[in-house]
Amino acid sequence: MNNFGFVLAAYTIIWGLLAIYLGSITVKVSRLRKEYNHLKEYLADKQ
Amino acid sequence: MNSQYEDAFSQDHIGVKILGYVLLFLMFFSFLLIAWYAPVERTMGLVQKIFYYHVPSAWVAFLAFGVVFVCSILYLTSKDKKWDIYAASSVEIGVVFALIVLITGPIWARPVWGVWWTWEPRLTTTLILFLIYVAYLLLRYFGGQNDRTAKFSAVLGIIGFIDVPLVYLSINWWSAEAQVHPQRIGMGPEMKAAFFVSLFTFTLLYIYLLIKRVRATHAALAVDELREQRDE
Amino acid sequence: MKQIITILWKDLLVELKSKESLLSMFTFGLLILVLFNFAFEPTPALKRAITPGLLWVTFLFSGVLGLNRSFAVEKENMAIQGMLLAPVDRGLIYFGKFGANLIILLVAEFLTLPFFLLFLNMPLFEHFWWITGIILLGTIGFVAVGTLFSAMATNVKMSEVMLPLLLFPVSTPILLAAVACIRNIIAGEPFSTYQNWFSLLVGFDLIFVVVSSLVFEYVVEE
Repeated sequence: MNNFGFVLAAYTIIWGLLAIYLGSITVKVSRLRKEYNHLKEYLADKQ
Repeated sequence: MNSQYEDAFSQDHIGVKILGYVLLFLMFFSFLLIAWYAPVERTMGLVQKIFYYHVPSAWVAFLAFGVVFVCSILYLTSKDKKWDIYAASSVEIGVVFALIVLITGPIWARPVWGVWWTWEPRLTTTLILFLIYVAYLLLRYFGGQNDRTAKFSAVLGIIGFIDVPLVYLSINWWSAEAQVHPQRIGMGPEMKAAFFVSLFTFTLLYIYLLIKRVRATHAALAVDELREQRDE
Repeated sequence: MKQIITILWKDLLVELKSKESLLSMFTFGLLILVLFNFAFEPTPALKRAITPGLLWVTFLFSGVLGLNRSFAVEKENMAIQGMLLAPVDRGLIYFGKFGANLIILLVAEFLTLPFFLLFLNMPLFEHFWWITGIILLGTIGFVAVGTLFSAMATNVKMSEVMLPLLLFPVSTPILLAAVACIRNIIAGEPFSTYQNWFSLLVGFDLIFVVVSSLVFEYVVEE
């Protein structure tokens, strides 16, 4: 691996980790949003 | 009945949206600065450019853990849950940035010094910090979602951070005895500019991630509240 | 002060009757020592080199064993709730537990010490008081944080693993400082060579005994 390879690996990992982290948060929130709305409807129906 | 945390599901506040766009711009801009504006360093070559992300990550990790320290104290004294939420979110982000430091460190070290790992004080201190705060996350995970776990975490957040200067000092002295690695990089003005832009970018990124992470916690709490209502 | 002694004494009595902690810590320490000797077949030079480190690794690992038990015992009998009902300042409870844990670990350490002389030719007698002092200081720091963390860990799943996970990274300064001091002492170096490490040791002890005692109440309150 020449030097450029190292730099490429490093930058990929950095952006990759950050993207994965932000991505997982976003996905988590949208899943939760669906569940929340589902629960809201269910509770409203129960009234 | 709606949850008190329902706001977590609405659109981002306009300030947050702007922050997001600014960040997007800054990431590209700082990359350009790093790649083309800053010159290639004489002795280390291209690999030195890793430094522009490696060091800011370390500073941000440290900032994150400092925030954990403050929020932990505030939580224990005020018992207001919001401080616990901020603390836990900040730990996660701090761990992510510490991980970046620990991965880019060896990637930088290998071509330059021929070894994957060096017991350099700052890198080693980051490793210990990483371990301490990973333990924090494990404690939260195994402790379950309750007030007691929150208090334990706060205690760890306080003790861990107080330990930091002691850890740094001890590793500094130890590694001076063990081996010597040159760490001072003489920086020309272009390099300084690229570095500080990168540092600024990462700091804003921390704030943005913190806001997002706290929001995710609120979302989970909102769902928990409704689940409780459903199960009543 | 009297309350501290009461709590301390209670713990010591419990331990004295069963001697469980002491025996397991001592045996474990011995085992580590023997294992290392088998694993490394040390030459005299190697023995000299690894003795300080091995000493503290042994102490830390057996220490964790003892610390794990100290609050586990309380939990079994719900004794903590009993103690908390009494109008005792939480900090005093901490000092009582800390004192008991400290004494028990110190006894286990000094029981193991002769074997370092036996297996590794550690020059115990020439520098006995200095070595004792460092062992005392190092153990104080370790037990200070360890008492706090073990109160936390017992209440969590995977508690036996949780304690070392929390304690070892935080104890890094103690480990490094104590090892450096012992290394210099048995090499016959003057105090000035390890004075900074010694100060670090004392500093760590002071800081963490104080902080742990202050923060302990949040760990035990319901």
